[in-house]
Amino acid sequence: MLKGGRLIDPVNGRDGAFDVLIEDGRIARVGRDLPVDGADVFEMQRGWIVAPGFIDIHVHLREPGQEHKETVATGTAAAVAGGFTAVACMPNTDPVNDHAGITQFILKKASEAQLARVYPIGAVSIGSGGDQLAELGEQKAAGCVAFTDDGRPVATALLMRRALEYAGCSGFPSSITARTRRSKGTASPTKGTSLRSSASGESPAPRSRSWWSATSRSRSLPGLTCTSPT
Amino acid sequence: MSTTEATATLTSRHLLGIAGLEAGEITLILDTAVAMKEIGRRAIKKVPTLRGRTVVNLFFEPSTRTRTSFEIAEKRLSADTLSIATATSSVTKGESLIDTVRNLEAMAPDMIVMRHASSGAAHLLARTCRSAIINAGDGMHEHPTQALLDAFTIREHKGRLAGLKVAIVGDLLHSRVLRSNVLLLNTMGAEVWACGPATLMPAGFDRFGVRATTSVAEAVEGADVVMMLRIQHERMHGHFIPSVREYFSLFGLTRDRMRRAAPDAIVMHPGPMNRGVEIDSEVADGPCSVILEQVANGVAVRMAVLYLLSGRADEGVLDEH
Repeated sequence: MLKGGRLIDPVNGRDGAFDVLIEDGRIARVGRDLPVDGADVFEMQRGWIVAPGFIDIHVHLREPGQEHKETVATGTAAAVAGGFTAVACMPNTDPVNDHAGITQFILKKASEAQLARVYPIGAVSIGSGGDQLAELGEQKAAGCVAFTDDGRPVATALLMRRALEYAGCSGFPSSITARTRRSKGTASPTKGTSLRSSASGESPAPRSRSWWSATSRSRSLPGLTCTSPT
Repeated sequence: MSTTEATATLTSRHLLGIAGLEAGEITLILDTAVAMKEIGRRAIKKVPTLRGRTVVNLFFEPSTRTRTSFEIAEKRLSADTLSIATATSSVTKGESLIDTVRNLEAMAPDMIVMRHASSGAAHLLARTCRSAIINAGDGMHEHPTQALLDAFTIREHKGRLAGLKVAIVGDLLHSRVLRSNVLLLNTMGAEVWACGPATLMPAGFDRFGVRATTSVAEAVEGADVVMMLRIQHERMHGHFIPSVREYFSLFGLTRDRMRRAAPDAIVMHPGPMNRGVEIDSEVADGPCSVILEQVANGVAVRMAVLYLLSGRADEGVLDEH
């Protein structure tokens, strides 16, 4: 039993002095001044906080390639030391995590470390270079949970748009049919006319809004991010 | 055999697309093609039906199968034929499409078979020409004789079109074969599933009368017909797919994936095939494949179309021979 700590549990709307009873590795009860009933008691010090494991969705584990800065083992050790039980690592390793083999390597290192859970995020384009769509399907099969070109904005609106559409068919909660915008034309599926979308021809600034609307349901896609070109 | 009664004649004097054809007209073409196929089995594969008629084949895009198929069909019907490949024509000198065709028309051909890279090109000609126009493929729009020969091949194997589950898998966005097939199969009462990467699906596809999915397994499940579309390398610029390798692993038709189809399912491909991209050789050359039958049937179906549009059908010319 964790006794006397400050419990912060936003999902259940709790913030205050609560005890937490743990049985067989699972939380059995949460309440104020729980009876001890023979449980092993861990007395929390003043100022200590009990909280659900945090998840950091943007970390850099630097492995492979920059192990002198960080490794999967050291990064996940730092994570758990700070209360983070899961991390999603960015693909700007060296080589870039644009390939299933690199994803598998990161996950192997994570399972050897046995610390925080690691959720690799794959690159949208090969080498995050913005020239060619990466093999999102294979990366997803290998364990990637999302895609981003991280520090580099996804190079063009066209690549961004295709990535959003393509991610949809790799099982990510994106749309499989893009909602038509006026310039795309409702007649195009039957008339065979060229599909030009305003979403692929705009300047970077307003384009994030048009990506989301042009790919409709992909608004619910959690992971396909783009660093805004500010 | 067919559930729809054939009409006596075709309403239009052109074949611009499947759009606008009634079920009875499609049945008429397919029934006529049965008789035409019989001619191809004779020792002397020629009838005088279109003797004295001139047919111009005008191909603005590369084509082996379709152009050859039309030429053979025309010759079997004894038409005088002329094939113009754009590389050797005035088009390379900057002549417009309409001017090229008006000049050809001055020499009074009866029919013009045209393939063109622009959607709607055949319709444009039909508005300006006296000749009957047969669309042999216009841009990403329609390829009606392909859909007709596909339907003919399906009917030969299944005895019907209505009620069949047909899965069409591949580059849906750029495919005129898809558009014509969907129109035809819907008209004839088949259930059409279309599958491909979301990047290669036309916008608003759900309003096109197909069940759209990105899962090959779902599309192929219980299908009577699995039709693969070519991944068009020349149209692959623009981030549609990451790599041919991943395309094959996600969408390629393999023997494993075919196990989900109906036990007597057939596999079709309009050609030219990319082995190891959209279809595994094991399937393309396997027992379910009717790909070469499609090519053979193309001649019979095109003979039927030429005959029905020539006006000779009204005169009952075929019956004389």
